[in-house]
Amino acid sequence: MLIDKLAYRSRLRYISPAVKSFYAFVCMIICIALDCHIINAIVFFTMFSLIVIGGGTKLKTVINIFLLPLSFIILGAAAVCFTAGNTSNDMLLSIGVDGLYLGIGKQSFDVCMHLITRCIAAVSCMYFLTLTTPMLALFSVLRKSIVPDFVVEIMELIYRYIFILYDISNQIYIAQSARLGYASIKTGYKSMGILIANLFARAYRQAEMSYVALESRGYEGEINTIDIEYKSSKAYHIIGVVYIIFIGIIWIHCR
Amino acid sequence: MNIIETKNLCYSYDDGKEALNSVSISFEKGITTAVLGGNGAGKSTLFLTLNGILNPTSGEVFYNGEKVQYKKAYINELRKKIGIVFQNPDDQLFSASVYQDISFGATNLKLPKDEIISRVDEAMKKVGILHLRDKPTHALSFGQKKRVAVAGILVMRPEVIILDEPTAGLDPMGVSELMHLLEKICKEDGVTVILSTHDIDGISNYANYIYVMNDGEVLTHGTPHQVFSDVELLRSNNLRLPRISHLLEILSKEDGAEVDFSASTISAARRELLKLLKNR
Repeated sequence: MLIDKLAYRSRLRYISPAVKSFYAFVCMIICIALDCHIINAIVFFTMFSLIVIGGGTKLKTVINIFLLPLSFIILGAAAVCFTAGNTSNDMLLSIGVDGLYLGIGKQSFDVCMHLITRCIAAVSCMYFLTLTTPMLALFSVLRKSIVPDFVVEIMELIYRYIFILYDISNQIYIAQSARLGYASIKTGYKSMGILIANLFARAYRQAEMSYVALESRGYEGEINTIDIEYKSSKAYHIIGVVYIIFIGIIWIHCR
Repeated sequence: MNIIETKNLCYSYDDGKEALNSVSISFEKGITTAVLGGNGAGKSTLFLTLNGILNPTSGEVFYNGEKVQYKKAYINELRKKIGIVFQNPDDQLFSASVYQDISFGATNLKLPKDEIISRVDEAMKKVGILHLRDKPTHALSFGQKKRVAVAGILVMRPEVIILDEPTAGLDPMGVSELMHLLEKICKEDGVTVILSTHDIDGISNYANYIYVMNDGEVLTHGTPHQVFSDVELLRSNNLRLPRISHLLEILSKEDGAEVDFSASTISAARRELLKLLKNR
């Protein structure tokens, strides 16, 4: 919910979503494919500053959002670090038990570091997209893409109703806890069960009502609306291409 | 001339509950008609039959003198002329984009794109929500959602706009803004406005004609003045006088002042009181 709000507040939200998603994906693929520390770092800082400086999202919020996947990435990568072997020669740190050595291998540490930077860089590309582009804008990109229209239609409806049902569940939760529904673990489980059951009933009712409302506005099986137009400019493409060339040059130097 | 007329309209739900019992109502063209009644009086059911969402058990509905046929093609045409604004805007707004939601009805009319765009802009301007254009629906307040819902109906340029409890859940400012908007739509565009309400105190300010419903039946109807003259009928059916009329009634009955207590608006009551002061 927070990310959704931030995207609508971002200064970069009016830039064509097609342009943003294209370059975000290209950068992500570059990071994953080239697997170079320097390029990963460059992409990360570019995306980070685009979000913070370009989009005007608060630095503290952005750091918090980045910390979330970071913990997963570090925990996941840490597992790769550890190896077992007969010698401690190629290990940075090891414990030996009966000639068997457990520890952090030089090579696996290297793999681990690559994994971390690659992940962070790739995540930053995706964050750039999600923190500067509202879902609505992404839907318009999807509509023009190869994704079938009815899939996008369903996505749009789901996106809308998530918020309605989230509100309803929130109201039920508040009403329950006001009457000590979550006072102990036992009652908490029970209340949660009631909440979920009620939410299903409400969702069903909501669907019925929405269908009635759609019908009265001339719905005949297809949701047709006017697409929102976004301004696309050649300048963005020039910046994007120059940036990718710049990354390419650095990669050639790094090799 | 009556734009919508019902004759002995009955509707009962699947569980056998009778929601409408021989309802005969005439809605005059070009004015605002209010249907007054408590919860469960049958107001919403009535509206849904007018728009062809519900198929009446018996009785007839006439649109512009022509009998409404509850067949798909006919109903689809009818819905282009009669727009409904539902009580809960969250039931109506299906799109996360304000702009796209408003454009939905106009798109369904199969209009050319330029026409749709200009209609959407016009409707947003009229309802005063141009600044909400790029906002997501879920970020709007209840009152704002209500306006978006109204705009979504206006783009279809209906001849009749039906509003189910339009004032419910709005703050006092929201109510008066919405009512001014409806007055404008009614007077400037000649759209017939039909609304349901249980706002007894405010109703006389915006309704030209009132139908009072209770338990699926029409109790009485008339101009606000006529309706609020029959105090006994209202009271015996869980309704009451507007506060201002009640004050005049007390003045008349308890204090022997000669005032007409069917005066139900501030200005009408003021006239009565001034008359009283002058006679002293």
